[in-house]
This record gives sequence, structure tokens and C-alpha cells, in this order.
Amino acid sequence: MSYEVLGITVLWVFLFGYLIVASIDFGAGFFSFYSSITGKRHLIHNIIERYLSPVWEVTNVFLVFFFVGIVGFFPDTAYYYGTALLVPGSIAIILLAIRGAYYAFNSYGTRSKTIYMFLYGASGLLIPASLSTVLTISEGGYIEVDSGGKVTFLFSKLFTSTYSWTVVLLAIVSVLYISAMFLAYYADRAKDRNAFEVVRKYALVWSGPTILSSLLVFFAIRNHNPEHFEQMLNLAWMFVASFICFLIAVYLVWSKKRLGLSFLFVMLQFGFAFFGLVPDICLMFCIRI
Amino acid sequence: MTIYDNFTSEPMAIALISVFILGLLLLIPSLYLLMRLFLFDANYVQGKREKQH
Repeated sequence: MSYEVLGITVLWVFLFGYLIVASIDFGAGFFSFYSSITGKRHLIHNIIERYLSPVWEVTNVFLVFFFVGIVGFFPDTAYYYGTALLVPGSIAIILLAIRGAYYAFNSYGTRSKTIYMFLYGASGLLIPASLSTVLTISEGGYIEVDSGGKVTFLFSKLFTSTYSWTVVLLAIVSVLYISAMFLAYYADRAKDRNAFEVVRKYALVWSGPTILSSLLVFFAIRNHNPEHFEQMLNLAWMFVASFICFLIAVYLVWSKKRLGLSFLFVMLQFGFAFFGLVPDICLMFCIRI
Repeated sequence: MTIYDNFTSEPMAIALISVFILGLLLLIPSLYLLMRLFLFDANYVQGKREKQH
């Protein structure tokens, strides 16, 4: 295995780890806020808090590893992404700071106010949306390099393309889905029936949109980057496997049994889709210009 | 542009890969401990506190 492949594999593994851990965290934040609006906070607050309070400091380790890795392994990505990610990257970092502040004040401070709760819940949806633009940009067509090597980021093109919005939609929906599936498992472990019923409903509600928005992304990729779509078709079995894992996971939550296994299948579902999205392992993270 | 263009130098690649693997070796056991001691600890998830000593 060449160093390049080894390097990109390490990066991809860390990104996958971040995808799972951070999704649970972001989604839990949103559900925590949502439940306080709908008056169900007293039901699920305990399990969310019990899960998040030891975990939130760990989550960003994966992201830091990924950033250090991508700049270390592929120094030129910093050159291209530096321009492109100036806006979405800065937004994501500011929102992460807000989140961190909320956690710190909430765990060490006295009481939480609605405005903080709102910021916390909103950041749970906005961070994945802004981070997902990294993957959109890597699909190519949003960066222009002139003959002098000057990088121009086609901002308006990113904002008006269907593809980038379908990815944003998929990012938000799958964050809620992953998180609800995990919380269902966790509530079951805690033997908290009331909380389990609430989060089970969330999980089932968000499962359909997850599949629908991934289909949308498929169609959008076909229009946006037919070459990549062809390569993905060669790995069609991975997406079929992903779909089967999805069905099993949803069935297990539906029938309220083996919830640990169910979450394992959620991870497999996203693992297959994630590694299948990048067809040839050597083409991972190429910026198609 | 693919991953084979503008890859980092060889010593840097070796250093990064070994550091990342060491990092994983540290991160995975610590996550395991976190899960064992807090997240999936039967008393902890149910919100019961152990007796005060």
C-alpha cells in the first residue's frame, strides 16, 4: 500500500469517526432544544445530559485529527480550500465555539436560558450544514484556477447549485437520524421507557427523509459530476448493502428489540455509503477542478 | 487533481502515519474507558448514584 493510500485511509477513518460521534452530539443538541419547545424536555433531558456531559469534550478530537492530517498529508488542499472554506469554515468554527461555551456554562454554571438553548439547538443543525460544503466543493466545479495559479472560489455557483443544497439537506437529516437512533438505544439501556418512546418516534420519523434525501443526492451527483456517478455505479453493491443495513436498523427500532444491534447497523449503513461515495480509494479527496 | 499530486514528502508521510496510528492507539482505549466507566455503566445510565463514602 502506498503512503498516499495509507494516508487517505487514515484520514477517511477519522472523518467517519467524526461523522458518527458528532452527529449524535449535534442531533442531541437539537432534540434537547426541540423537546423544550414541545414541552417534552422533562422526559428526554436526563438521558441526553447523561450522554453528553462526559462526551462533548472528546468529539472534536476527531475533527482536529482530520484537519491536521489533511493539511499534513496533502499540503495543497490548504491552498485550494483556504479560499473556498473561508466563509463556511469560519462560520462552523464560531458555531463550535458557541456550542463549547454552552456546554461549559451548562455543566459548570447554574441554569440554562432559552436563548442559549436556542443557539445550542440551532448550531446543531448549522454546523453540519456548513461543514458539508467541504464535501460539496471536493466534487469539483466550484473552484477556478487561472493561468497565474490564482484561486477563485465561485461563491454564487455554490449557493445556486442544486447539488450543494441536496448535500446540506442530507447532512441535516442524517444528523437527526443518527442521533435519534443512538438516543433510542441509549434510552433503552437506561431503562427509561418514557424517554425511549419519545426518541423512538424521532428516529422513525427521520428514517424516511434520510433515504429520500440520499436519493436526491444521487440524482444531483449524476447531473453535477457524471464521471463520479459512473464510478459510484461500479460500487453499487455498497449502496445496496447500506440500504439493507438501513432496513434492518429501522426494523429493529420499530419492533423495539436488539437496539444495540440496531445502532451497529446504522453505523454500517453510513459506513458503506461513506466509503462507497468515494469509489476508487485513490480518488478520495481529489479536488476536481 | 488527485491524491497523487502534491503529496507531502516521504519523511513527513512516515512521521504523520506513525503519529496518527499512535494517536488512534491512545484514542480508542480512552474512548473504551469512557464508555465503560460512564456511558454504559449500569448505575450511571439510570441516574443512580453510588453510595457516598
